[in-house]
Amino acid sequence: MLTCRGLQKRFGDLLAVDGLDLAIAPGETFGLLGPNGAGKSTTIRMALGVIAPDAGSVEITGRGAPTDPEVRRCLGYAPQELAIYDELTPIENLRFFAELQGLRGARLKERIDWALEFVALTDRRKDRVAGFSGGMKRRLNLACAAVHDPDLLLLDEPTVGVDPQSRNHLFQTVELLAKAGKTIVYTTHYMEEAQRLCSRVAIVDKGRVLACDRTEALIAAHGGRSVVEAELDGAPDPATNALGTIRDGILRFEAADAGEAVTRLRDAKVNYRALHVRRPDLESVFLELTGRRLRDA
Amino acid sequence: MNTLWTLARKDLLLLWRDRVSLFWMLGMPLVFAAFFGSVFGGSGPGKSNPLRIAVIADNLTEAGRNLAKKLDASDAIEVEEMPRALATEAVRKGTKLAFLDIKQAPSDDFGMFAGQMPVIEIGIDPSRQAEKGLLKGLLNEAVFSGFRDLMTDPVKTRGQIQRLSEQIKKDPEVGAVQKIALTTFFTAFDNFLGTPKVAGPDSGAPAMEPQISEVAITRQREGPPNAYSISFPQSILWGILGCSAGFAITLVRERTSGTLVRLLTAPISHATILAGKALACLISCCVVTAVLTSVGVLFFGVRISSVPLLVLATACAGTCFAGLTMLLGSLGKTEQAVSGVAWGTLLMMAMLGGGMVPQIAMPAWMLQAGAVSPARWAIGALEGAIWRDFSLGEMMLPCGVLLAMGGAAFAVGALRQHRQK
Repeated sequence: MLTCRGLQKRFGDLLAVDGLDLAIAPGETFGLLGPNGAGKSTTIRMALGVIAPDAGSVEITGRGAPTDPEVRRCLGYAPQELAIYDELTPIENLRFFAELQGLRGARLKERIDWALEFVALTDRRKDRVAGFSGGMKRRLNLACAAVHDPDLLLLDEPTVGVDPQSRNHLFQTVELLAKAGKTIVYTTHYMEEAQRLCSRVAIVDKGRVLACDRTEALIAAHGGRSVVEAELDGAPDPATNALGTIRDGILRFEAADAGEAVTRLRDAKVNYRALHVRRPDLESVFLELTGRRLRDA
Repeated sequence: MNTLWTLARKDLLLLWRDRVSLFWMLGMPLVFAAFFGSVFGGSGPGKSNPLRIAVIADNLTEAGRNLAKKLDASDAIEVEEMPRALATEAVRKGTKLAFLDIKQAPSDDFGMFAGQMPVIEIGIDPSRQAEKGLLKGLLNEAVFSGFRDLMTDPVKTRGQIQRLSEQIKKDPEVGAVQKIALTTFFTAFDNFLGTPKVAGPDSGAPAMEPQISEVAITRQREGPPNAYSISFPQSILWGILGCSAGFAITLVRERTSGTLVRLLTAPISHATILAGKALACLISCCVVTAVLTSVGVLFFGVRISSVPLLVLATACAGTCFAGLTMLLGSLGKTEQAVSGVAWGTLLMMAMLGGGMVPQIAMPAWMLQAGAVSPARWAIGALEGAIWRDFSLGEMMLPCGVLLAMGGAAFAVGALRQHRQK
């Protein structure tokens, strides 16, 4: 659906995107993860045709480059900022963006009604957006991206600054869009979002793709071993000490999985009251690939 | 065209809901027009300034007071009684044009034949010769108005003449020769008034007044008919400046709020987005002009020389400032920066172009310097249509300059906006 080949973009001395390649299949929910300043938003904007790459190309499969206005008709974009008009109502916002996409008449009305229902704002359709909560604005921001029924949706951190209920509602709407066969490119800082929503994830840093695969495969390849914590029952003996580190009566060591952990504890004849196995997740992969050092990009 | 209208309609709706911007576009210009029109004009529309005079109340007789009332009945004069000290002070300070001390006024319409000639002292600044002449004329009119009224009624006049003849005969102060002369004159006059042609019902009034008729000839005006005709074109300019600054700020707001990026992802070009903004700015300029002009015509006595030329002037001024809006919106990265730059630039333009001091009151060098300001040409075009009686040919210069300036500003602004995108 979306193919980026050797994308490069420089802003002055800053190389924002450095030879980035991506290939996103139709119907896929694709996660684009990376620390601040990794080049995610620049990549998205090049994919939208808003800014032109210095090198490389973007193609919407079967349609052409998004710099062509007609190609952009199949794109929907929800920016990180709340790109809606506070002094307009949800209906007015949706009508405006839908009309820009060429919708008119009965089709326009039908899509506006659908979008309001989709993000649960039908009851507030005639209220000014200025009085809405952050979560409601986020939902409207997403609705404006989807109102014209695009095939490809690019959602740039769509859950920033919303409460858990609104976030959960947003997840459900994204899942519904995915179920409807839409192709979704989803950028986020929240690993659990990507893990829940995305079938495939690319981890980007310094304008390059560091890894790109299915979530499980990334965890298996880059997540490392599981961390085991055993609450000891009684004083530890030398064999227990040899398994790992002990602090405040808790033994910690790494294992491939829970089975290996239990086997090793049994072999060392360790008495324990409880056992916790923390499996590696996408966050482990992210930190492993991008480093743990603070970024102030 | 649908897309352009969609873009413009959204901006107009946002503008309509932004009360602060509306005030700058309509409220402030209206206050400006009313205030400065009132200050420069000194009165309401259609009224003239009467001569304000004081009548010395010290020792004022009943006959003197009657004369003062006759003066006050005229629209051209406004009389107030006051003590001499106060009247002198009022004339010195300029709150009164002059004072009249009516030392002797005729108690009778024929009193002047009995030596009762009015004696009046006028206190006035010697430099005010024109007003003094006008005041003397009005005073003479008041003094002789009773005599004139009397002469229009022969029956009443004959009664008065007989009564006066009796008085003169008995008056020991009137000399014998004078008595004979006056009695002879009154007798002849009484006989004349007693002839049927004069005294009959269809006699008509004796010719005591000049017969004045009017022929309507429209004067070629060299100045505005009233001060509001100057202050309203200025206020329209301020309204247009308000539109321009407001839309320049919304341009940068689109950038900072992220809506511009969203607009750019729609199947429209960047130029279309800017054109939509310019169209909204142009429409709001036209609406502001229409509203302010209507208020001026309906409530402030502003007369429009040519409505079609006013439409032309409005369209050209609106186009010019819509183009400038594109340029102003590209001169900063934040709303605060653009607001500061836009208002700073527009104020300079207004200052040079006659937005603050009327062009009619500007020295020649300032008018020449103002040629670089679109405000000067906008006011020139608006005044041309409102009171300068411009022909279509005369409108071509200011309108052409406005369109050229607007086109150039739009091109440069659009280029800068495109680069900033």
